[in-house]
Amino acid sequence: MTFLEKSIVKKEILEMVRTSRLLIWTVVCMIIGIVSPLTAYYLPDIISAFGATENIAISFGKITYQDSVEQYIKNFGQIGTIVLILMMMGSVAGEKVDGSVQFLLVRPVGTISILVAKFVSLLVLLVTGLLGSMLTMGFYTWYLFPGFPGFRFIYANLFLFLYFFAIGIITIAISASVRKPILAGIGTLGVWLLASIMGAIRSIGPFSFAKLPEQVIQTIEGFPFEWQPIVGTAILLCLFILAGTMLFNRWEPND
Amino acid sequence: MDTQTIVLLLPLIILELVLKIICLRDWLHRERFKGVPKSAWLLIFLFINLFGPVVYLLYGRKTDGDY
Repeated sequence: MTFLEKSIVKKEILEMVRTSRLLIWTVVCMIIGIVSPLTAYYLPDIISAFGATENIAISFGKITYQDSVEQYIKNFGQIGTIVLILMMMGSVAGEKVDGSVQFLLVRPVGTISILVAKFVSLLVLLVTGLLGSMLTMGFYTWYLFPGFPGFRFIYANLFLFLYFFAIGIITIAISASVRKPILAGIGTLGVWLLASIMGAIRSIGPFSFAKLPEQVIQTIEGFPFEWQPIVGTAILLCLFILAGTMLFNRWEPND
Repeated sequence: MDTQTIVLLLPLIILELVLKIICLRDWLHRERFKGVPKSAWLLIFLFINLFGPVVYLLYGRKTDGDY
């Protein structure tokens, strides 16, 4: 790694702090980590309160840590995904619009170096946020639900990390291929929806990266994880990185 | 609401407040905004929980590079 490439990585990380992206992601992750166990814990009370106004008695089974983890996965799968796409969709396309990529490309810096710096900053962002969510979710679930397997939870979060890494890489790759951040956002949402729909198809479904969050629940419950979503995600990421790099290379600043 | 519930909800309230205070500080010192007028952004980040501050911090602020 040359001095210039190190500088680009440093610039990306500083940019993440300056634009509050690191703060937003960490706070959102921590909020999800708190809200998920609380929702699971208080769900019977909330539903019963609604039922009481209608004179309906609603009975619930015992709420366990599995319910808390399910909420965690659901919240991350929806809120987390949308927030990450919103944050990353302008990562390259936004810089094309404001001219900072053009400013970088007049120096001896390749488009690949720029994309690698984006991927490294994405790693930093994800690790920080997920550490925050693991801390809050781990503490609340341990406190509210007995028998919570803390170590398996830490291990299971690797699947969540891989899922968000895939979403982030796809967003950056599409952002590098288009001229407007909004197009990158719509494109990634499309890929995400397609992957979710594909997940329901029996033959190719197990290879969808949308299946990764399910592996978290499976791992926490002590079942062995499935390799198909990992392989599917790896292939998809290679394709997106390749396509993103090629299209970014062909992009002309005065387009 | 019992004491345990209040204690459990407290970090959530603090985190949400932190986001709103950061937005408010930025909003007070900023002249240029994207999309909607300054007063509308205040309503967005004060009254829409979580997504309001996120959208303001990501897309509400106009910087020197924005045209």
